[in-house]
Amino acid sequence: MANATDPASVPLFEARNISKSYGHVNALMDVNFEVRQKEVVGLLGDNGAGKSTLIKILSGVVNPDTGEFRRKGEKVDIGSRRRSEAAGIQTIYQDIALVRSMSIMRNIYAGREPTGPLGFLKMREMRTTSMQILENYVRIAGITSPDLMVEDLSGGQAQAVAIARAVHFKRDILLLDEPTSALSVRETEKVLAIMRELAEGGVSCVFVTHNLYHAFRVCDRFVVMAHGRTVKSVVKADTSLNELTDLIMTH
Amino acid sequence: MTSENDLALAAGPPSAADRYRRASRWARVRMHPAGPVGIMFSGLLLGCIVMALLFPSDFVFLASANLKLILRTVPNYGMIALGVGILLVAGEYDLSVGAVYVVTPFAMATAYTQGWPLPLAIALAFAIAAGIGLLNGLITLGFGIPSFITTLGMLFIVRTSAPFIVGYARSVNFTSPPWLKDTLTGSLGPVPMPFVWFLVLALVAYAFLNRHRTGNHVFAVGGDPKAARFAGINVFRTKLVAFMLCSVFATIAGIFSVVRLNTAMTNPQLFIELFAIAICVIGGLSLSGGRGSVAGIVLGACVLQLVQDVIILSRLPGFYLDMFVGIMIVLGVVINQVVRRKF
Repeated sequence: MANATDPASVPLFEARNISKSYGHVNALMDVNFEVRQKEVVGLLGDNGAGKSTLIKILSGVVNPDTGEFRRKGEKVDIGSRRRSEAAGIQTIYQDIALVRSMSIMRNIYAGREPTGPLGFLKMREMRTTSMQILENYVRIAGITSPDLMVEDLSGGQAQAVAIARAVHFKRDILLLDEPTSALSVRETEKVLAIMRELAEGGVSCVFVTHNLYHAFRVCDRFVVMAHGRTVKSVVKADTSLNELTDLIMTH
Repeated sequence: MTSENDLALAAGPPSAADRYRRASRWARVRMHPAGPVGIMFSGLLLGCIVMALLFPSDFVFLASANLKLILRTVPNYGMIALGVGILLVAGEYDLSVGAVYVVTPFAMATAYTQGWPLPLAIALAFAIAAGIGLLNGLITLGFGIPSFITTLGMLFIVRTSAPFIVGYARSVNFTSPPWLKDTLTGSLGPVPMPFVWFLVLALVAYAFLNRHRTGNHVFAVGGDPKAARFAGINVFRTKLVAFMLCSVFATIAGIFSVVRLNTAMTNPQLFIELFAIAICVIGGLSLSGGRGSVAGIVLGACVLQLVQDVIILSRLPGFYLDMFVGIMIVLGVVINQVVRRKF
């Protein structure tokens, strides 16, 4: 769907022939996975299908045994978190995205603080920019100040801040690992809406979820995994909720 | 999202600056980790002043000699607590500071009496401190063991090491040049110099913790090491810096004490590390890391000293202080917990 409008049909990011085994367990076998421009792709499958191994590999936490990666057709190395981030990938986890005892502003800049010559923080710049980030990417009710502590936010607000943080720092692929599983219904709606907005704004999202209804609401394309392999990749127009359910259940 | 009491008169769509603002002053006081200790300190101070006005001959709190004594003694534990506090925020303990406080100035005094130039002797003290901090950090982080254990061991090792170095001497004279004694232990107007230096060091600690990149990392690794790592922060290096700073602050405090007394002694100052931790806890620092403020440490040190002063002025036996510290540690944690939950 997104690809049809994109003249350069080169995927934004490709993982080719990825295999990974832990001892005798083949977690991934010859997996191909691509992320296209401006799309939300749902990564589906039952527990143990290999989704989280794939996400860990893409975010640079785990190295595959074999396989290669391409960004816009060019080979890239994503063998560490830094390299993965340099390749434009940012991962949003359900629970470990932010330091709860720190303010929103300090979380946004944790690990990439703007500093002067002696390493002192540019507080004014941090404040102005974090206000802009909140304004541009979040606009979620209840966030009135970048000084709020993350622990005082609801799950959805915190998730929105984590997403804003990732997007602001020039990542164009967001991996969202079960981002909605701890959220209330309303907050889930908000996060789903943010994903849609991001995709249209040029940030592709990989949405890992158990919830097929959520996936079907926002995704342009679905990749179903089972037993360490990709079983099917299908765009939304060519499938239905029932078919996806069947695919996951029968494998 | 702009509220009705918004004072901005400009029309037009609200800008980011209109929608998001600094938290209100009250909210900032409420959220500030030094809030409870600030209230505790104010209450205590007010109580002392009232008592002193009511019983001017029995409770001589407001006598200038008494006030000067307080200002002179606050920095003693306070300076150590600054370093311990930084490390606590990073999520680690250091029980060896009491030994470092004694041994590094002892090394300085020994080197100085044996003819080393003063700057070199001072540098030696700081080098040893940094070395001990580094070792504490490397062992704790490298092997993944609790810093409580590492530094408990280090406490005994360091404490017993001094006599070996200098052949079982118990004390060394340290007659520092007058200019050094004046700048460290003299007076600035009515204010004793140790207190002035304590405030300077507190400012340095504040600049580091709240205004410096590494300080931001200290809060992050103490608050949630996993999240910090995922944000690309080097947890190992950040904690290592905190361990070393902790020892360095203990050495600064030790040098002040040796210059004041003209003597460096190896007999251990009992419980000094625990008093430093107590000050931090009273000051609102979390024992699980990631929370705290320099203002809290300064106020915590003042509270401790005020209580000691009250005990002295009321002619109560000295062990009341220990008992009071014990109560305050527990109470301090409880109050911090309650205040956080309440709002």
